[in-house]
Amino acid sequence: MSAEIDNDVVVRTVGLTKVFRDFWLREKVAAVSDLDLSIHAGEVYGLLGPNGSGKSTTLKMLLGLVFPTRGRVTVFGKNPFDVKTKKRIGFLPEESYLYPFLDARETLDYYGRLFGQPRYERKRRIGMLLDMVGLTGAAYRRIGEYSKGMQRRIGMAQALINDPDLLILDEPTSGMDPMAARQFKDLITDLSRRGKTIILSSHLLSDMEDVCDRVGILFAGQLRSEGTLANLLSRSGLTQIVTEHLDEATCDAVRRVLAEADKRLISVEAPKDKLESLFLRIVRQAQARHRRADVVATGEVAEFLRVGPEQDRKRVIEELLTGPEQVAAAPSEHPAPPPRPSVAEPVGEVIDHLLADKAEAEPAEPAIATAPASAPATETPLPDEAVEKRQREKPPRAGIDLNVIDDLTQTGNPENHDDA
Amino acid sequence: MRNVWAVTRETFLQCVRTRIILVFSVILAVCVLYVGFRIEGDGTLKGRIQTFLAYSTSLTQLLLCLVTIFLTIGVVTGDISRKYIFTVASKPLTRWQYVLGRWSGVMLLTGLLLVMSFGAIYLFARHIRRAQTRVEMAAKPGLVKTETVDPDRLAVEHEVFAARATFQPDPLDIESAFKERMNRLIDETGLDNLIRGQIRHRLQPPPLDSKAPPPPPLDEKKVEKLLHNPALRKQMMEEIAFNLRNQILESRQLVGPGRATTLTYSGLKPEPPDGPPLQIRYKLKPFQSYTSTLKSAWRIINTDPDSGFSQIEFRSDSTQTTSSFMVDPRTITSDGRLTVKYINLLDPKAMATVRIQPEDIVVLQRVGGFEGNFIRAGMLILLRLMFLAAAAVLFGVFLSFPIACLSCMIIFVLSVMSGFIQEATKLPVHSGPPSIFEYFSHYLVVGVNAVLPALEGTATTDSLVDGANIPWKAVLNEYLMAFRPAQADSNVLWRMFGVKIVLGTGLRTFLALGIGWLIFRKRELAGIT
Repeated sequence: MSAEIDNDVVVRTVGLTKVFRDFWLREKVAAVSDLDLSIHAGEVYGLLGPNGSGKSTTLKMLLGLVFPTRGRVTVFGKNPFDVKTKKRIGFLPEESYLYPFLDARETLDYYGRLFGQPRYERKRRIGMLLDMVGLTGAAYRRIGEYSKGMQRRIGMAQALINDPDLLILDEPTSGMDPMAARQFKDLITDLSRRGKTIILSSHLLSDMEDVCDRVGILFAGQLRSEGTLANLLSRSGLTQIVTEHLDEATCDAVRRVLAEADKRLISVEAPKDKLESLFLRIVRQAQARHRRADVVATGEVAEFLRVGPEQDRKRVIEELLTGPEQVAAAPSEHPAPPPRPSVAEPVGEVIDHLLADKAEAEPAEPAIATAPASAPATETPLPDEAVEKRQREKPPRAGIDLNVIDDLTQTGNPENHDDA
Repeated sequence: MRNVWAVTRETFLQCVRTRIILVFSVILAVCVLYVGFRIEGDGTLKGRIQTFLAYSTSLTQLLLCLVTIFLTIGVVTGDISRKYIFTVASKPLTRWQYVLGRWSGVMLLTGLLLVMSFGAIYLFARHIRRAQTRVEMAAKPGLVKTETVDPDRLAVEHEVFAARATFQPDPLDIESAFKERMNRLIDETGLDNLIRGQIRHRLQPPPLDSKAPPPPPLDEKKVEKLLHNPALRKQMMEEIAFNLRNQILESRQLVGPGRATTLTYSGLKPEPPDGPPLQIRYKLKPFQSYTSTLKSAWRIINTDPDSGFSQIEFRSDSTQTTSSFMVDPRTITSDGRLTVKYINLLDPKAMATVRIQPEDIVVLQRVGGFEGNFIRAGMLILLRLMFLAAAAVLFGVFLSFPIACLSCMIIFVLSVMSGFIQEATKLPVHSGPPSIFEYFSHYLVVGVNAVLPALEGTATTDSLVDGANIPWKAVLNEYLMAFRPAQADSNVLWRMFGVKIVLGTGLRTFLALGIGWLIFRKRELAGIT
């Protein structure tokens, strides 16, 4: 591995092993065995595995909560116990282990204080984060009174209070309704696009599929498989063509063409909506009519998370000198960092083009013909979930930063959605 | 320190919002109010105030100690068992900052509770002080006030609402008598015989039981050999001198019926004629006889040639209780000395030889106000709470809540009863060689006492009740350390330096916190998930 690539590594583990022992120092469980990981800057890395596979233990070793029995772990090239390292990390544990007697503001204020943030800065960030996770209306309620989903939201907010370079999320969507889970996944994608390195641990495969660039599959403490999602999920022996609805005659014609080419047609069927998409659509419509003030997320990614830390500091100084309104109105000297390259990037322009077409004319419901063919589906409108995913992968809009989750929240106009 | 403050603040908020603090506050308020309104003491105003102060301060101390222990252990073990520590420890917070923050957060709250409860006690004590004494209640309104001073009111003002220093009599000068007796002994017995007798005594102590069979005869050759050992000769001479001094001292301390002894006190502050009165407090102990009452006469003399002022008191006191009487401030000489002559009155119904030891007859003189003393007492109690909170943090970082509570309570009891336990486990002197168990328990307690501070809970309360001054130096010694001259019973190290260093409770507190931090630093915060 070249030195250039090495500099890009945020998290590295070499032969990382954790053996839990009992009181008499007898070996109890080997939670992690000889784990070699390299996670690069800007990457969304998923640790996938069944319960007890060592995901959480690995994350805890990255955070210095658990000491490795053997092997080495570095985060940003340093020991994870280093306070300077921890300043750059945000962590959401598998459950929101937050003090139940503090309200949301006090909670964020406490964690902001631990990062040494000045009062003004804390206040600013707390307001933005509460807005972002939709808890502004419940800001003065104690965490102990929150539902599990609300606790996850405030947990996410505390993980972002320091605008971390590395975000470690342990089962981020556990206990969340699909709506909130969707928002979380969008937020993760969005943060990743802004250059954050994200490590996710989950056993929910759909979560991983939606957001991860690369995954490692753990079982019994050992890394069984690792790679990009594209590599791991591609089925090279099959080709899928998605077209508009075909009548029986056209299908027969396709079958004949395939038979002439000595290819076997495996299935022809109308595509089905994912349950998640259906649920989101229904809830979105209902929310437009019944808004609950305390769990309404603006969908706006907090402003301080949209810019780099250096830029952020300069902005704070400018605001202190000139007042926040003037600074907000002034054009930024430092443009937002370019979107990170993604595995889906080569087809991004095609998708944008398709989406533009879709906005102009509502097409008839598409049909998918899955057949052993090789033609790419470049001119075909996509089903809902694909559209949503591609929308999330669009580059930032000019002037305003990406509002990835706004179309999933109450503040977004349901009329704008293609399925409305 | 910003992080320490953040944790302190959070701990304070957490504790304030815990129900346990509400329960303890209610109990504390109810107890103080009940004691303030209901307790009458011995019927005098002084007794009522003293009883109120004794009960309320003891109760406050006890409750606050318990609150401190339970709260501290609760917040620390709760963080670990409920996994709040995952979120906290993943932030840029070092382990020492966490330990110090948790401790100081609890201290902030308990300190506040202490200030509030002591404030309430003070206000109540002042309220009771304004009540009428029996004499004042008996006085009919409209009558001209007499010049007679109400002794109850006088006692309230000068014995309770005061800070008084305690003076013990100057040591008796026995050196000339000792030299004279020693020389006579050597002349009469001969030096070698004297030492030989002491060696025999050491080799074969006289049996305690007179009916015991006679011991086998001593090996005289061995005695003669030891007699010519220079180091042993020196040691035997030291023992003889020690015993002789004790004999002389004891004989001087004994006052037979119809006899008198004179004690002098120095270092007192000369007072103007209308200055606050002194108090002589004494407890007369009959020597080798029993009587319930002793009659005595006291003459307190100003020995200044141009003064000649003296006061005479005749007393009849129970031998079971401590008695006292007021002394005119004019009895103090211009150089701050006081001479007290005690006469053991000859009374056929109550006659006994009295043994007077230095602590049996003391003079108390006002050196400050009640308020200052009250604040210093509060500071000493705060110090105890600080130590208990530190011990609670120390146990909380590696034990579960019930085990940590149990350990902390043991520490609390051992610290409070250290004097008693030390006395109870002393190696026996007169009943033969100690058993292994006695050695074990003695040295175990010595070890424990070396680590734990002496938190005798009653010491501060007693001082407040008696109006005894708590000097700033004592407070400082408790917070930092004290240097005391090494006694004969000090260990070798202290004897070598000639001074004994006693670590104050404050330093022990930070020592406990330091150990807690070291343990916490090495502790894994997450287990198998």
